[in-house]
Amino acid sequence: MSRPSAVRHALGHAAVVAATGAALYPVLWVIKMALSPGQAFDPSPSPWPRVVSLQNFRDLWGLGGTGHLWRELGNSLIVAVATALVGLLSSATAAFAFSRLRFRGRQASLAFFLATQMFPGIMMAIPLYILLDDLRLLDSLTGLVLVYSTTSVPFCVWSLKGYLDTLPRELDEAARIDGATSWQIFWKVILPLARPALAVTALFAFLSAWNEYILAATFLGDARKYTLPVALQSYVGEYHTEWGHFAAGAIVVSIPVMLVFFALQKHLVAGLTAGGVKG
Amino acid sequence: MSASAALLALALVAPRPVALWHSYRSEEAQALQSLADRFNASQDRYRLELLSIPFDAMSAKISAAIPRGHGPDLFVFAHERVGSWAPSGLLAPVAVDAARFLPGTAEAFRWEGRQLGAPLAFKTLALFFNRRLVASAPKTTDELLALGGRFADPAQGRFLLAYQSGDFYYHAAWLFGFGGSLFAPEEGGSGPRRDEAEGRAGSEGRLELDTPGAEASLAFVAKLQAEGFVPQEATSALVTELFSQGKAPFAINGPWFVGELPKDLDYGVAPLPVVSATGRPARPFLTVEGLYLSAHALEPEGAREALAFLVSDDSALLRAKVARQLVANRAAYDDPSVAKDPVLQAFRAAAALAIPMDASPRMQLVWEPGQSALRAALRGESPKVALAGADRQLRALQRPPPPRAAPWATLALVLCLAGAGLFFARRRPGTAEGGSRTAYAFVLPAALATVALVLLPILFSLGLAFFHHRADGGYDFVGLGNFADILASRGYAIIEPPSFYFTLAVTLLWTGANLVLHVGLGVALALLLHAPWLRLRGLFRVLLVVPWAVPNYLTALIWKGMFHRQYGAINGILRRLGFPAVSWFSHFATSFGADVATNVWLGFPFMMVVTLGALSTIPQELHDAATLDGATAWQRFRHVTWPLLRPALLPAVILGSVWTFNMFNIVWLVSGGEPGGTTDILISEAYRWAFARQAQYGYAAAYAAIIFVLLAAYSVGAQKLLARRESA
Amino acid sequence: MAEVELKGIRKELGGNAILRGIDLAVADGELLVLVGPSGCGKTTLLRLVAGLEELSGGEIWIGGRRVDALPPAERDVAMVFQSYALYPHMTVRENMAFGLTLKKLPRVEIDRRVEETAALLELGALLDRRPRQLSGGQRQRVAMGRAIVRRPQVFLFDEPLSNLDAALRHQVRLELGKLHRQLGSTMIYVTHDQVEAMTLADRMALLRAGELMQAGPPLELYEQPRNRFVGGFLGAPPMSFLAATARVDGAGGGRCRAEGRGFSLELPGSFELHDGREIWLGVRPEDLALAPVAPEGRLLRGSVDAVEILGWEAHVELRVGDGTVTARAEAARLGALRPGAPLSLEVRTEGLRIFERSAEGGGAEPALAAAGKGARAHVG
Ligand SMILES: Nc1ncnc2c1ncn2[C@@H]1O[C@H](COP(=O)(O)OP(=O)(O)OP(=O)(O)O)[C@@H](O)[C@H]1O
Ligand SMILES: [Mg+2]
Repeated sequence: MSRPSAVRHALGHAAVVAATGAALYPVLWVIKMALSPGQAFDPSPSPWPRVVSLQNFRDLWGLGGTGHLWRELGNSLIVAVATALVGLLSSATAAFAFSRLRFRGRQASLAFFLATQMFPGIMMAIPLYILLDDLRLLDSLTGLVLVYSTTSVPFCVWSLKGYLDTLPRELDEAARIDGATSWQIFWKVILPLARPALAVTALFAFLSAWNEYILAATFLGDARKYTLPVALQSYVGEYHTEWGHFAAGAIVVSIPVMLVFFALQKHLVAGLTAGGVKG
Repeated sequence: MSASAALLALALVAPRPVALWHSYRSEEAQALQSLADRFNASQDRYRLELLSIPFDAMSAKISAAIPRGHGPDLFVFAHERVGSWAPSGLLAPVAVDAARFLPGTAEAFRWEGRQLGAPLAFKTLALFFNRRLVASAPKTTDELLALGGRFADPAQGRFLLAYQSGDFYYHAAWLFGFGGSLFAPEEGGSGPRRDEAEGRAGSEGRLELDTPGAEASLAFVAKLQAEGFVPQEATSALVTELFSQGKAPFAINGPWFVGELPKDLDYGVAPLPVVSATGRPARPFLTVEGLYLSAHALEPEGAREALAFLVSDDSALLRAKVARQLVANRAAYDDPSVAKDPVLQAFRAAAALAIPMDASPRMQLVWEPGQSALRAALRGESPKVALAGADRQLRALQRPPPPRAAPWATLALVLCLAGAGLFFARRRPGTAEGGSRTAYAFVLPAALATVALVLLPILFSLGLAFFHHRADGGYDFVGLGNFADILASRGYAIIEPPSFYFTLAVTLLWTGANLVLHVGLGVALALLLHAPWLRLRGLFRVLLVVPWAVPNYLTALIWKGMFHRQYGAINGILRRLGFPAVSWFSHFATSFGADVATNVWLGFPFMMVVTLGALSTIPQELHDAATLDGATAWQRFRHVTWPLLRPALLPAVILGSVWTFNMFNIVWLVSGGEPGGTTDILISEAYRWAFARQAQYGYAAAYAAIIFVLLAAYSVGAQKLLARRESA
Repeated sequence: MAEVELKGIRKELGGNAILRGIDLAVADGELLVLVGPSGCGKTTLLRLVAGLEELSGGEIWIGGRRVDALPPAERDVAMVFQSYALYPHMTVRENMAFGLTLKKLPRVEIDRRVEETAALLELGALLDRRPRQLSGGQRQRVAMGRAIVRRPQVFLFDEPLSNLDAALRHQVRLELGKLHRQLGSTMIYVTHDQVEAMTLADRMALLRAGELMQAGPPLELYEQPRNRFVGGFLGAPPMSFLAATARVDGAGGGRCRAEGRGFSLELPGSFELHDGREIWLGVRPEDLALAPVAPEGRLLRGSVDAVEILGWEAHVELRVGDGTVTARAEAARLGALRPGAPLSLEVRTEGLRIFERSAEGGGAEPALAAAGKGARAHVG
């Protein structure tokens, strides 16, 4: 290792540390509010709590007599994982077709997927409500999963297609000559190689379901079906917000995301396709 | 046989459910729950079931659920919505003995002669004072201001009076105290109306902000702030902080404040002082929370019974005791334990002076111009100019409905356009080499779901753009009238904030700035996190996605707090570095910058993660080859990494820009459009029209449709770019 | 029975005509070597046969069956890609077994075949590695193995040996030849290596810019190039060309001479050219010999342009008039020959080839007549 690269590595580490600091700095207030007793939104410039108390977390866990955290956490997990799976599966096949197969209407359907993202989402709550009602899926986690996964499908399709386009085409041609059907090529050759993109897409789909509350609160009419963000948003009142509980809940909400990302990030490895083709 | 008979019997005797929706929290929720328990124990025909719904979602949910028959039997909401819900037929009349309630509270739910709700509790503002600092509350504003010298020292973070001076809800108390009004004839101020001479006297109940009283009230608060008596940019959190820390002896706040103050704080509550200049008391708004009976209730009888139970004097007393709720029932205040509660009694006294908020939809129009005039005055603009601007804005917001149109002309136009579109689509050389059944099978699940759950709702909403939503809930077909109004910028100068073109320019700037920063930061960090020599890579990767993981409702507000002029961490850092503090939300550039900073912080992890995924396709040999070619790190990035990243990144970039274009909640939460609506983006306009300005759904849908067309045009360009890449 | 027949194959890609009407037949069990300059369409032709591309025109028949509408899997072909196209996430064993697994062959049968093929290609020790853990040559052998293991009717090889070292290439070439004889399957083999082409080919086909120049047994192409391009493509070093004009001495009983700038060579009797015809004179290096003295009609005089010494032999480029010819010589006999030095060469005129010379020939002017070595003249 030569001198200049040592300096560069030191600078690189410094930059990452600085960025991480900047990324975490605002979150310190979340932690502070969660750990401070009381429900104030502390506007003081210091990010450190004056008094540390776990009361907010205790309340959250239902020890204070209000919450059903486990149930809500469970619902959220079911919804988010199912959304990621459904979104991923349906969009992976579509992305494969867009990337590898030529068919009439290909460009148009790609554009269509993109176009659906252009309509402001807040205008869609009421029509979606009517639709889910007609499908008899109001009040059900299935309905939520359906809505979340379809709203995340366009991104998933586009992002996966973008990645698949970079995979060498000879691989599926080789498989075709080997006698693989399109499905076998998709399942046995392309999908294993798309792991990094699948990880990114899964995280995206998971998160889009995990943090959403407006639609969930609008569609669910049964408290036993509530997801965590709905419960969390209930701490925000018209005049008064229980910031302590909200912040504690925000931390509880964030931890699974980080765990999921931690689990997924090992798929973000380089050189997955190395050695496959020349050049 | 016997088992089913038993079941049948059980079903016959099983109490029938009565659903009640509310947004109460903590003690109020507990009080309601224990009342429900009591009700359920008191009889066996009905079972009252409570469902807590986040306040944010309540109103939309009510509007969606009740007409579809999924609504509750009863729900709790403030009275201001009566005027919107009643004409849409969501509410059923209830029987209420108005005499049992404090004056004005039951009447608040009367709409066109029908009683459409029963009062539970009210909210209004009062003066809180810290007994350790002052013995009693001042009776007049002069008395109050006389104490200013003793307590106020802004440099030390000490003030005379803590309240949200920039919030029109709070300011309204001064406005009315100074003889100002919102509706021209009813609350007419003292002295002759200026505009009468100009021949535009207000018709019945016409909205009018520019009155001498309003001008005096703005001058008053501007002076309060200029003298350092009140904190700048006060948020509710800051008010709580200042008052509970003893840094301000007085605070103006509502009953919810009690729950935010430390238990050991020794404070008193009094009605707001009399405005010395007019001799009239400062009169805050009165909002009444009540129980509504759904017009589509499944158990109307049970619901009526439960309603009567919940608003009964006994129940009210329990609510007052358990939750310290400001109940509407007169009798509750005579109970010894409530009579002893100085807070409740003080608020009761304040309520007598308060002005019930107008329940008609037009009231919703007041907030925006009122707020912007107030903020402008606090920024140092002349109150006169600020109010003139507010009135101009008010008139523009009260847009007259576009003329009704014959559906045929528009229909013909739309059909022509569609036909032309089809024609061109047909004529384009077929890109496909024949259809492939497999390909369709692969695309089908995603396409089907998207068509059903995304396209249909979009078409539904787009359809609304051709209609005008009347105040009574009906729709008139107006053809392209909404579009014409938007594009002709009817009511505003083109270069003014709410005009379509101004907002569009801001939106483009917003999208561009965010995109560049998101991609720049995301790619740079991903490259660092991808470097093999980086230690603790996994840890850094996870820590850097934290901004994406934490619910952004909370973090956006924390960012807003960090940009606070006096208490924000950002100005704290600036001061430590020797720079003057910046008043972030007073200027377009800084306010816009604050929005962008927040959104970049929230959004860079996404780009980073996408880039990390994309980086994994780039073979190491290419870097080696470039290194041997003598490329510097930058050249390697520019000529090797970036071109290879681009295809995988481009979809994220295109979609990211589309999302940013429509990223309304950050702007909403951080700058809120300040100053004067300049930082609003197109989607916030649409949102305001739909949800804050008289429910102009049609107009909002037209906005959405225009956004859609703009973005579609953008994406066609982007897709051309992609297609070129693809074939290359 | 798996003869491959290509009839009037045309292919256009992005508006460019890549292949412009190829007619070619490969007999059952024959090994056809496809050669041609880079970019001439060899890979494209293989891909068409494999079914990876759709024809723009023409027909493909394999084993008497018209296959151009069939998907690759139903054509029973195997292809070794120029870029290997190994499945990066599978081990060598899995890579080789993939096609067989898809065919649902019994496990033991798959294992047996994989082991056999691996042994043949010396891959036995590498079976559990992934492609990225292999050297370029090893990857190429895996790619070959993946094709061989399937025992299809038709093999398509796209430069399968280009990454191997000389020794291994030699060995695999021999193995391939053996394998070909053993399996008796039809093979189309693309290569840039002339030795490979000559030694392996039953027949050879030469493409140029999407057109078939000539097809036939390798020696036929070498000795009777149908046009100037074929002549100039084959051989190492290739044939040299000198611009000349035919002279027929009326007095000399119809004997022909070729005159150009700085030379005048006698043509063998088999040529029948009329006086003044513009021709290209094609000279193979092996028909030139260092000779200080020679009969006038067989002598080329010029100055040395460059000398390449390759060990025992050397190549000498000689400038004659405004053209150059390349000669082969024993390095030891050259002494200290410097560029610029004058040199004379004796031409074995029996080996000369003559091609039409015209403005529109574009490098592929047809041969006018062939002579020497018992060849019959045929005009292209
Ligand atoms: N997708 C494409 N679009 C347009 N032209 C193409 C495409 N693919 C290949 N070509 C062109 O077709 C011609 C033939 O390509 P091909 O790969 O068959 O050449 P080749 O004979 O295999 O060359 P090499 O010996 O270098 O492998 C080339 O000129 C190439 O530029
Ligand atoms: Mg090739």
